[in-house]
Amino acid sequence: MKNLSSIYAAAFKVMVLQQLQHRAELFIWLNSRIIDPLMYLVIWNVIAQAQKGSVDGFSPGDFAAYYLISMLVSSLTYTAIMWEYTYRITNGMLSALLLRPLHPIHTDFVETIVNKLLILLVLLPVTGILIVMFHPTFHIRFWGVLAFFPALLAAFVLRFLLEWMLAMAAFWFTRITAINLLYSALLTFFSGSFAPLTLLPNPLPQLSMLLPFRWIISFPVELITERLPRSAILFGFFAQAAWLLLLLGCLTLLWHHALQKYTAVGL
Amino acid sequence: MRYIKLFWCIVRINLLNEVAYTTNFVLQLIQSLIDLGTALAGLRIIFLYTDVLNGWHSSQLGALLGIYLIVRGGIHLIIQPAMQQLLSDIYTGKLDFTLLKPLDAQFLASTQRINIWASVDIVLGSSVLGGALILMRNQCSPLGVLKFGAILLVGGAIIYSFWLLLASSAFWLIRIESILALFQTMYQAGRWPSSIYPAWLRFLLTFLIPVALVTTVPAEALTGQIVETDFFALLILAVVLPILARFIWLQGLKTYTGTSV
Repeated sequence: MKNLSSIYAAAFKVMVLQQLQHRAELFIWLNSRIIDPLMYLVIWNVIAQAQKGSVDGFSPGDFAAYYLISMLVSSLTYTAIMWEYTYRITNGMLSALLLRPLHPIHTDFVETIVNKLLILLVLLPVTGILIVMFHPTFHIRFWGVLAFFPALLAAFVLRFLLEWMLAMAAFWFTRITAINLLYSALLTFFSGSFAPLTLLPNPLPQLSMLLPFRWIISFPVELITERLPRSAILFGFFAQAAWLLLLLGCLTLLWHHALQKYTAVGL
Repeated sequence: MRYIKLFWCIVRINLLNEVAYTTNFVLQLIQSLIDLGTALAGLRIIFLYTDVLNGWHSSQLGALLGIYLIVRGGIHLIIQPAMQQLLSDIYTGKLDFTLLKPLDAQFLASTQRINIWASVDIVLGSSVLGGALILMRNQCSPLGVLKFGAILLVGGAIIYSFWLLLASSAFWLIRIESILALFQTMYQAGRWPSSIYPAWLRFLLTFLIPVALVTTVPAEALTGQIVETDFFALLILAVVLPILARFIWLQGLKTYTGTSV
């Protein structure tokens, strides 16, 4: 355990330096995480205005608060691993990673954490500007905020594990763009990124309870915007924990099989 | 005439190269269908809550989506592959080979690569547009269709010039792949009519990145609700941008030193 923490500390330093090298790129990739929620916010605002000020209990101010927090959560949990994995395999880059006596997921995890800390530098001012532009109304209560942070942390780890596991499809199929797009499409609807889950037609909201996507983005957002009854809060944390355990199990199991498929295409 | 013949030859070479990889076609088809499905599902959800989105009915937004797919298909078909090749040629110095040929370098650089599978998007987009037009019935005249085609071509010229302008900046900035990526995410915004965005965002989309114009104005032309300021902005851009792009391209060539191959 002590060994692993010193590895994490070393990797942290390396990743900070590595990412600062490409600092402009960090923020350019962040761009689509900002544009998408803005588009949806604008659309729902237009609808709310047409429907005499609110859609199903959401006023324009509520929508603004919802989408700004959703933007923060999706930016802070986002990983690019599904898009990088094919590259890693077809270039044989993975070979070098496999030579280390350490599962490559560890350095990826540290890299994602570093990335999140660095993008906060841009994300917070952007949020500030958008608050001025869109006038969100926050109904913040102490317990909601307190529950938000552990939920966000669990969402971060959950999304990282899920996307790392799905990226492993590249071992079998090499080109996984279609899988990635399907995943993004499901994530857009079932994580509440397109619209708050309560606005989706039946049976999508019920379905979202069973899928992992809601617990990745929507759950922390619903917590802080005070849209959940107490029983649903407990269920949410339970679902996050269950998915975390399930994914850890699947990852360990699949990794073994995946490595046997690896042929280092390209090198 | 010579250039048209040459262009046809380049298209044929690219076609012959690509038909060997039919899996690419299947993958592209699957990806485009997923994308289309997502967009249609989004529209469906929106129109559960309203009948009109800022003056646009669902069939009109469907037409806009079709145009968006056609324009995007056009970009992926010819503009983006050529420009990405140009960027790497500037970086590696391979642009030397293009410059040595006794033809206009801008023409060669802009047509050097064609990703024929992107035409899947154009076909899908046209079907969506066709479907939307049937739903709208009598709302478009032959003159409207003619206008639509002309405006779409003008839009294509604007987008091409804009990409060339961005790519030419690589003569000075060298690595700009991420700027192109930025443009692509902004382009997403063209899925929705430009009038729904608040004024400051609209200004950004329309003038800094001529995204909204290229999709919204043709849709407006087709549904007969053209906004005159949009139309004139489009015309001005269509004159100014190609000239500017050509000028920057020529200036860039002067600073190009290449020879690293």
